Amino acid sequence: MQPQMKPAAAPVPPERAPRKLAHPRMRIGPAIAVYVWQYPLRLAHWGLVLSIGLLAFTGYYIHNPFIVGQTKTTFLMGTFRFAHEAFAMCFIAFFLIRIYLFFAGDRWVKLSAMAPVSRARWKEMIEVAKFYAFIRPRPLSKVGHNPLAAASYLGIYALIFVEIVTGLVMFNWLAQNPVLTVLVGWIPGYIDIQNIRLIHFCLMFVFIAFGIVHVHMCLIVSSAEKRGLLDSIFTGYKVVPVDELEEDDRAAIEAARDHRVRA
Amino acid sequence: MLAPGTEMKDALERRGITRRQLVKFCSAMLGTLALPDRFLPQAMAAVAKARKPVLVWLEFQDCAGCSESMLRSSHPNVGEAVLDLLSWEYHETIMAGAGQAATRTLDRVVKEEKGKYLVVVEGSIPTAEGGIHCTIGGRAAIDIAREVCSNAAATIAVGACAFDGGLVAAKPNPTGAVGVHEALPGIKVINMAGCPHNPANTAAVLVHYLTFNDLPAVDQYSRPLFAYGRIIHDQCERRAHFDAGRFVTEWGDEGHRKGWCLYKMGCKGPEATFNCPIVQWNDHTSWPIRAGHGCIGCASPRFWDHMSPFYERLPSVPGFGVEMTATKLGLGLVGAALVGVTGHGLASTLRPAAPPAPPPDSVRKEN
Amino acid sequence: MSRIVVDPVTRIEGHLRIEAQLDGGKLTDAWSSGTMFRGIEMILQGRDPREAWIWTQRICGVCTTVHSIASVRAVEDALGIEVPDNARIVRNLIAGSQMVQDHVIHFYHLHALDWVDVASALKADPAKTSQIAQSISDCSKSSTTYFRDVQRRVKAVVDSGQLSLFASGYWGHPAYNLPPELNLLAVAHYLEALEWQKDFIRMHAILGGKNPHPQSFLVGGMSTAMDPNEPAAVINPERIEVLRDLARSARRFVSDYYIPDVLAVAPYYKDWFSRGEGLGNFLSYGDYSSGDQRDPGTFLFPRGVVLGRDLTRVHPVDPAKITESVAHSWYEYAGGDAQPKHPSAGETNPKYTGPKPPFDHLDVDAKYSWLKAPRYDGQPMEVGPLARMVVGYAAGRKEIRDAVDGALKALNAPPSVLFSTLGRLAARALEAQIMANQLEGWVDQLAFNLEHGNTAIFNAARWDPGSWPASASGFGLHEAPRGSLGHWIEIDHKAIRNYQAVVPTTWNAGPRDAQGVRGAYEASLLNTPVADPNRPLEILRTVHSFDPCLACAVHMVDARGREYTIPRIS
Repeated sequence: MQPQMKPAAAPVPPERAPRKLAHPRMRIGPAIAVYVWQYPLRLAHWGLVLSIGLLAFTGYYIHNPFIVGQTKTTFLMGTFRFAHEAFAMCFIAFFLIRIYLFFAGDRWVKLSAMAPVSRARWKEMIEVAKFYAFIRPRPLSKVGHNPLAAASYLGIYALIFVEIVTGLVMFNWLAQNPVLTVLVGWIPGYIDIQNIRLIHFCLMFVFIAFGIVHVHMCLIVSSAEKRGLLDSIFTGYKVVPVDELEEDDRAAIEAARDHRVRA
Repeated sequence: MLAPGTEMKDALERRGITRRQLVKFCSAMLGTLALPDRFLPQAMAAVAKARKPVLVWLEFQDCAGCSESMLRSSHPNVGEAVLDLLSWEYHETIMAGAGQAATRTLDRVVKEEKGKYLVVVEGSIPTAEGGIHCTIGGRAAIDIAREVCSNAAATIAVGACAFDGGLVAAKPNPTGAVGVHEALPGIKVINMAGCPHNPANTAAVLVHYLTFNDLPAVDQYSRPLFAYGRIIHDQCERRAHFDAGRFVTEWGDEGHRKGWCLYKMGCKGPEATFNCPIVQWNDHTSWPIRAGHGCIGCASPRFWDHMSPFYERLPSVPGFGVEMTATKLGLGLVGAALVGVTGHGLASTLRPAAPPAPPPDSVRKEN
Repeated sequence: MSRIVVDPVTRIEGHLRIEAQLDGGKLTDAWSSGTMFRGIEMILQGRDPREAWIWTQRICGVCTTVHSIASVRAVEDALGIEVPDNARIVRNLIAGSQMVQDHVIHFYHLHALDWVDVASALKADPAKTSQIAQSISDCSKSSTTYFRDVQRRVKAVVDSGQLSLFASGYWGHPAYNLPPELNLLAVAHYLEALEWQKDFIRMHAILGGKNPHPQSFLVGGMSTAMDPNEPAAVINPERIEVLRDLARSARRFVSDYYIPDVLAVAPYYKDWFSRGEGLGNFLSYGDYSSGDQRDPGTFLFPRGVVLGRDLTRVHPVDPAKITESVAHSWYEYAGGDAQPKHPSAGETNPKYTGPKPPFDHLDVDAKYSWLKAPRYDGQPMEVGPLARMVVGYAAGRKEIRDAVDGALKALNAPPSVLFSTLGRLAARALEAQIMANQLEGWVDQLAFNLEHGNTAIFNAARWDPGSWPASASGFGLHEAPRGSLGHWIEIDHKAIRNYQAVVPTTWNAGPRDAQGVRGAYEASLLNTPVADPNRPLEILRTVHSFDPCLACAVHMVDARGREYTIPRIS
């Protein structure tokens, strides 16, 4: 059933003025600024970005101490290890926020919205891939993540989970914390500690490579869509032509507004 | 109860040991086991028992390094262990009898001391081709091990090979070698891992058994906690240099001469658990890191495959040769991402401008 | 005619089985079989050549270090690395102390019980033993009280009915000739040697962190960093003094115990100067350089071959003439088993064709051992202390001539007695003495270098695999306590492609070759009288005189990249 859509003679009043709409190549038409990325999501995103960067730097030093201390007062490795462990705790916190949002976040960031569980989503993933492969001229625009991006993020979250677990195994190898011992202490019995180290180290490169590709994809899509994709991770808003809103999106926006109005 | 009565005095005299020797010896043992002095009388009484427990030492796919290591034992020294503490009735490397005289002795112990004797196993047990890769007196190692270990009070697996197959079981494991635990599931076994085992620890386990008639507490690999409960790194004399970031970067360099940390030379101290730095070797003389070489993690499970390459921080990436390090592979991945992104970005600049958006209906269709 | 089987042969390293034919109280034929195989050469393939020594060291824990030395030399040869002088000295010290300690353990703990009747020691008069001890040696532990204490300790063990290691001995065998007093002396020194060996080998702990399996070798040198002013340096003035002390203790032990004991025991077993002659061909690669390891002229033990017991000629050694046969070994060669192969072209394709265990007899007409049969120029060779003494004697090396002539004079015997079971025992003792006398000199050299600022211990030029050629091959030779040892390596793309070792006990304990020519053990057992087939003490005497080390001997030749899988039965 096609729900009757109100033709948007005037755009739904946005919470904030849409940007970049007036670009010459942009299709003229009604559009709204949708608050897609709530601040906890953006916090988690930037927290993860920052902590991955710091963890990669300190972690690489721990792997290969490229600065060798000379004086008696240095505490280089101790400092790097402390920093690495502290950043790791922040990293885990940001990751947990993101996991929480899988269940309690907006409809665009929920696990149910991201998992490639339906045939339609798989088909859409192919469409997205076609754009990257220059087969399809226009990106497949979505209010939230496009299905290919969503699936790749889920993959990265899974790898982040592995990174956290392997990190905790190594942390506990020295710390021998009773809680951690119950949680991860059994793992080295199945995967040798050296291979745990290898996995932890190799995943770092995967995250860096992912980061490069991720930024690139965002740039490409953002410039092709002209809908403020790149801005959205800073501001939380994406500009979406009203006629492209799917019914569920529309309902969600309405609900959000109603909620706000009531409040 | 504390002072040994005349009974113990007689027992000692029969054994040609003075009380002073016994006190000295038992105190040293309790020290290794980290037990308080109040156990001294119990230990002394057990050691001075009139009838000595029987021990047999089996050797399979071994290098006899663990036997040799036992000969370097100081507390007790091997003379005391063999003559005064235990009745060491079968041990191919040092026993008097050979051939049938030897195998008969083993048969006799299994029959007459059933359920009471201790067995030490050195070397791995081959399982391929019906065990033809190790036969003794015409019998396959696995047959001997099964008979002798299943009738023993307890089995002590010494060295990496008896622990989990050791070097012999390293890839590709041509003879199907396994450790005692895997070869004889269900047997009560304590693993004294190491290449070789440290005789101080094994002697401590023997005395613990004599004193309490039981084996000490063990970890998930059945290794005694008192010896394998902590990583080497935490006990290492060079740890301060690690924390300070002072590393040996080339063999024989200034840091090496000053005894700095061997982390960058591939030392596996941060991975390996063992009490090597505390107990040390050869009557507390030294240990490998003190000798300027990194640890190879010899008391760790399957260390030959997992801890090698011994001069690298991390193992080789599976599926690649020794030339390929994880760093090279990782940098390759990042490089490939950069190249791919740059190429894709350049290609995207050539992408024709998107045609005007189709009306909403066709968008739906497209989706 | 009957078949005697001795399996396990004990008081050796490893798993050896001897089958022998007894006819009219004498052995008319013998077969030597190694009954254990590990396949270390296959395990080595594809690994980092710089760590090969750590792996090959585990070939043997009794002659620990010898395979490390041969291995680092092979890699250094392949990559063209010259090691600093200090590394040469430290290696000499490690190998030399290994040799002395190993010979002492062999004599007192592995071999002595073939000559010494422990039970008879109870009948000895400690006072007389004390007299004998004082007459043969300056050793201070020689009082009546001391020997009475030992006797009491032995008596306690015997009275307890729990004889421990001695439970299964051939006590009272008619071939034991020593008087009770000498038996007591030997038992006392058995216990002394047990104490001394563990104390002395702390030299390995200082220079290698531990023994067995010291861990300080490096391709290009040693990890024993030297510094005259650093407390944490592995070699500094304080450590030098400990080394010097240990070196002196070796010298004292050999001259106070080992040599006098051998000279005291030998006269009671003069028959054994004419038994166990063996092959009469001797091979020594030579080792223990005083300068350049590549120049055999600098060796303490010279390089050479002596053929047919001819002490007037020393033939040069050409490693290209070494071949190995598998005609009677549980392996197969691609081109047929009849044709022997040089180690660098060798193969290891294990193929067990022996009886299924449990078995009573091996089929000695077919294949019967896990050992191959090495040959030099087509001939079987004996290696070991006797070979080194014979080659050194024939070459006129002064230290060796003096030591051998001195011993022969003490025993009032001609040089021909060297070619015997007892000759091997005596040669081993003399070699221990020569080596023990060397150790302190090496410590002095080390101290001199340290004092004069020469602390180079490692040549870093080829440590980084990036500096290696795409492929390389080389070999390393060493004179181990049990004889001539060679490792051959092929490196391809920074990994081991092939690894091969031709090991002393393979020379000595190997089976027959394609022509049916016996190995050294087999040949030396011929004509040995056996008084009691159920207690074949005489077989043990001759076999033990070679100091068998079977873990080393079982074959290590390359598998040429041929991977094979064996179905697991478990």
